[in-house]
Amino acid sequence: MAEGKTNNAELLIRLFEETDQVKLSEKDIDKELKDLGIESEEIVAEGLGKINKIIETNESQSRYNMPMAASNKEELSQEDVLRLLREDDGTKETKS
Amino acid sequence: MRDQLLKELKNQDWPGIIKELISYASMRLKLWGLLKNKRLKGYEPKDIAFKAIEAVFNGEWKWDSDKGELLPYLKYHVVKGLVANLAKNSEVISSIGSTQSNQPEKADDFSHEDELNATMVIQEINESIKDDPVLMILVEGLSNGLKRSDICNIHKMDTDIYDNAVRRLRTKLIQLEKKDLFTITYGRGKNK
Repeated sequence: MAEGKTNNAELLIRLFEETDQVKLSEKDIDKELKDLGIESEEIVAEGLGKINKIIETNESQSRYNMPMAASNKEELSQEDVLRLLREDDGTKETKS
Repeated sequence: MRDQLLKELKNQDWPGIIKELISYASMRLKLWGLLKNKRLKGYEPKDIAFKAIEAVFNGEWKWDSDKGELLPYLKYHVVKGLVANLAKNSEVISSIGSTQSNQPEKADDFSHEDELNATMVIQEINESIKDDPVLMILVEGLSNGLKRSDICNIHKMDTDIYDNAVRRLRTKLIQLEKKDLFTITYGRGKNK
């Protein structure tokens, strides 16, 4: 026990934690939020909007990365690399 | 690994999680405020809840579905951790009373003043449950360090009766939250 930590502080925490263990119905939660001055529908809509934005960002990053990886895998065979290098050299020679 | 995590996160019951998490964040902020007699400036329960959800998506907090469900992880690890971290930041702490400093504190370090705050809140709770014998048994049992199973065994109480009493206690605590407990306990609610 930390110094100065006494029974009523612990009891208060215990009471709050005990009440969090009990399963509540959706109706109960909606009522509880209303009692706290929070409109369930609004808050869920706001939360889902934020979550969808995060998911979209993550998915667009995945879409960008995956074809690049597939493309590299297909093209970067030893033969293709040598061909690309030869072509590159040829271009440089043409330019010079 | 990352794709698997995103897939699992996408398949959650988000409307239910959002509501329960905001309710929990509200309780957690209030509890911290009651004990410390301080508040976190500019942070509403929904800010903490959304920050927690974002932290799990971004991998700042690493949820492992093999170790447990998402909602308890968000509540007991992420939200609890975020509140504790914010409480260490003196820039976001504001005192309720005039005698308090804005110094950050360790989350579980309770001073004598914290104990005084808790005592006054417990008195308020006891006052609010005095007409409910089952709730009085429950609070007394918990204050004596008993667990749910102990209280049910000793008092030959059905677990449904216990759980319903806990629901009533939860409602009482929310009612206390709605009142300004600092006004109740200190009589100085206007002094903010």
